[in-house]
This record gives sequence, C-alpha cells and structure tokens, in this order.
Amino acid sequence: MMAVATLERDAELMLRVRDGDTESFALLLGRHRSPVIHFVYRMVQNQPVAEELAQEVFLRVYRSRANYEPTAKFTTWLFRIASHLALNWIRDRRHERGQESLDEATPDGMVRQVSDREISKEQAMVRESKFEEIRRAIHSLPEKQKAAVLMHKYEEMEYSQIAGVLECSESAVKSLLFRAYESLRARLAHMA
Amino acid sequence: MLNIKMTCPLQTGNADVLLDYCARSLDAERKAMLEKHMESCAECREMAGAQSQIWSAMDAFEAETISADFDRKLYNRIEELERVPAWERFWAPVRDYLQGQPAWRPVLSIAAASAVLVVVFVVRGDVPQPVIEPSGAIIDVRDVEQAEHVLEDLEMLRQFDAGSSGANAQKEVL
Repeated sequence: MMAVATLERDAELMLRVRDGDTESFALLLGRHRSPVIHFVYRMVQNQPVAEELAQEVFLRVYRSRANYEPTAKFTTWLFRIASHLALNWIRDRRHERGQESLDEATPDGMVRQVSDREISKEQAMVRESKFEEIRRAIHSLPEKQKAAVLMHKYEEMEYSQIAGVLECSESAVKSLLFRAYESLRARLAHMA
Repeated sequence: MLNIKMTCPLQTGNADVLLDYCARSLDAERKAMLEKHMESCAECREMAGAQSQIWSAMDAFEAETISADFDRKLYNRIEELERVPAWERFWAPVRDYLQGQPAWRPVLSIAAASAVLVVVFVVRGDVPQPVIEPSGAIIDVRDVEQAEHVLEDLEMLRQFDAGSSGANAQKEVL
C-alpha cells in the first residue's frame, strides 16, 4: 500500500516536471537526494565522485522529463540510472588503473574522520576498524552482487525492485544476494 | 496455521527466507514457521545466526555527509543545460543511453575512429585508389605517355623516310 502511494507521488511529481513545474523537481530532489548519493557512495566508495555521479543522475532525470512515462516505479528508474553510472565509473577506473587490487588501500587515500566527539578515542578506533573491514569486504564483491547487497541492505528494496534496477529476474537477484552474503559471512566471520 | 511444517529453506533453494528473516522483513506467519523449523535444523540455525551478525555489522558502513552546495551545483548544471542548443539536448539522452550499454562502447569507438579517418582522407583528397597488379589490366599513366612518344618518333621517322624517298623520286624524275 505504501509502495503504491510512493509510486503515485513520485510519478505525479515527475509528470508535473514534464509539464514544466520546477518546484516538483525540487521536491523529487529532496525526497531522493540522500538515498541516491548514499547508494552511489557505497558503490564507488569516494564521496566527491559519488556526489558528481549523483548530480549526473538528477541531471539525466531532468533532461529526460519530456519523454517521461510512468511505466515503472520512479525509484526503479532512478536507481537504474544511478547503478549504470556507478558501474560504468568503476569499470572505467579499473581500465585506467589496470587490475590493481584496491582491497588493500582506502580508495583515493580517503581518510575517514570520526565526527562524533562524544565517543572515546578507543571507541572511535574500534568503530573505524569495523567500518574499514565492512568497506573492504563490500568492495571486494563482484559489481552486480555489490549493487544488489547495497540496495537490499541500505535502501531496503524488495527483490522485485532490485531486479528492475539491475534488469534481471527476481530469482537472479536472490542468487546474487545469496552468493554476496555468503562471501561476506566468510570474510567477516572473525567479527561475529 | 503454525502446525504447517516448513521444508528446509537451504535444502529447497529458498535461502532468501533466511535472508528475509535476518532483515526482519518476513511476515509473522512465515517467521513463526521458520523459527519452528530452526528448532530442529542446525544448518539453518547456524546460517541465520551468522547472517544476523553480518547484517548488524554492516550498519558500521555509514554514509558520508552530503556537501551543502550539492543542490546549488546541480541547479547550475541545469541552467547550463538550458543554454545548450536544442539539437544537443535531443542527442544527449541518446548518447546517455548508448554510454549505459557497455556492449555498444567498442562499436561506437570503432565507428568514431572510422568516421575521423574518412573525414581526414576526404579533406586531404588523397583517398587511396585500388591497386591491381601485376595483371597489366590497368596501365600506368607513365607507360601511356612513353607509348605516345614512341609513336610520335615512329611517325617522324616515317615522314622523314617518305620525305627522303620523295626527294629521290624527284631526282629520278629530273
């Protein structure tokens, strides 16, 4: 019921954008800005790149407004654009850098700052270490498995919607997720 | 209802039930059935335990704070887009689509490279001609010129000879 309401709201807004209502675009941006940026960030693991790609996502939405038809759920279309851009960026970067293992290093020398000043230094280190372990484990997954896991875990998408985004069957998504979580369980077993 | 026995999800290839259970997205009825099943299935119990721990641990992968000027940058780009000519705006979605299809990318690269080569040759005017050799079906231009020279020389000699014999004949007549 909730999903239907969301579909109707987003599609309705997008149809208004199509008719030239820029306020509706601002509303759509407000609703989906964070999920898109967070998803792309977890895919590419680089915040400036994630924001650049997310801008491209919304730019493409805006550019396609004239031809928009609410045939699929708006978020499926939105995340399809986002995952295409993120996967292309990952592939291009891999070609540029060769098949080097990024597993050992923090991407682009990213040093994550622990912003919470309330927690102790020790707690911060434990948290940082956990973050790094999870980040590397997710980073090591094959691209499609990674995209499926991120949508399943962090965006709380249903199998059918993930299938729509990745343009595959629901059973293929279940298989992708099973293999991805299997790898993560094996890799992060020591954390359990 | 709860008396219906659940077949082992791992034995029947339905491990997604266990994933849903750990993600707390399983409906109450199936949750109860799975919990009943796990009482007697060590394999499912073990997997659900490990998956639950991973599920919780993954919360540590927090997202970063979004830049305050994200919207401003986006609207600047939209403004720039509005200034772009209409044909470019028409072409951009097509280009975006093709760029999103990895299978097209090498084809597009090759096509673009070929188009550039054709343009270069056309502009320079040195489009390579087909070369057929050594059959002799196509005669080199220099050979034709030489043949013409030879024929001209022969004609001159013939005229010279004719002139000489004509003079001799005049002598004889005289």
